[in-house]
Amino acid sequence: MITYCPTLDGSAALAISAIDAYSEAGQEIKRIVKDGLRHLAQPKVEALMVELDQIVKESAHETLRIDAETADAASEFVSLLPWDFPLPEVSPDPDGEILFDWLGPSGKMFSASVNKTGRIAYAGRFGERSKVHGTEQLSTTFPQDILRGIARATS
Amino acid sequence: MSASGIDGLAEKAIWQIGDKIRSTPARARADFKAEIVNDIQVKGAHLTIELDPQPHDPKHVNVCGWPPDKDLRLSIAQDLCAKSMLRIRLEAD
Repeated sequence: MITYCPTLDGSAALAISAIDAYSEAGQEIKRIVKDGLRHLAQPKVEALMVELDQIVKESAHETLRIDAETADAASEFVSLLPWDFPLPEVSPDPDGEILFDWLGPSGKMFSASVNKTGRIAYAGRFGERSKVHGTEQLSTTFPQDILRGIARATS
Repeated sequence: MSASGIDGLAEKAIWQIGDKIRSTPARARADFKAEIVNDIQVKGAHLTIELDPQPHDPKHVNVCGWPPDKDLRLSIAQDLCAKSMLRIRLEAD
């Protein structure tokens, strides 16, 4: 079953958690839906994926490599981003995580860092006395606190 | 975090410090006053600057005291970023 979840920006996010992920048919449906979503989200998501691949490839020549699990978690994070959200800047973090930065007007900024376990650490700075930070876990929908932070930083 | 004391150095000499520690020429840098490290107001952060002279950079320092939580570290980095001046390298440098 596919459920449509409203998001903050008014677009619809697809959640596929209701599929029985353990059956073969369930896995197949999940894959088809995921591929379909990726196709619809192109070229934005595709551009980010290409950038992500490049970062992982380049890290192979550095002291601190981005491992496959971290790259997968970061790809999952990108695939969950709402389609009409501004694109982040992507960069490798010195601790092996992948960092996504949104820079808004008047120095507002929001950052989210994804590690190999799917833990997303985030922080936002919207003014000298207006800051947020926290952690979320990657799941089938994009974390609402992070969506709010991105929207606040880029508006 | 690594940083360098740049007081009294010419632009060219500052860029050369970056070039020595990178495999490709430095293209941009963030300049900040040492005092702002003490002004960081993020819960649990007590950053300090410790001298760590290096052969290629006698004024090299480490900014120490970063908290273990990644989200706090990101928040501190954002504060430092907001209080720094971004410098883009010119061709002449």
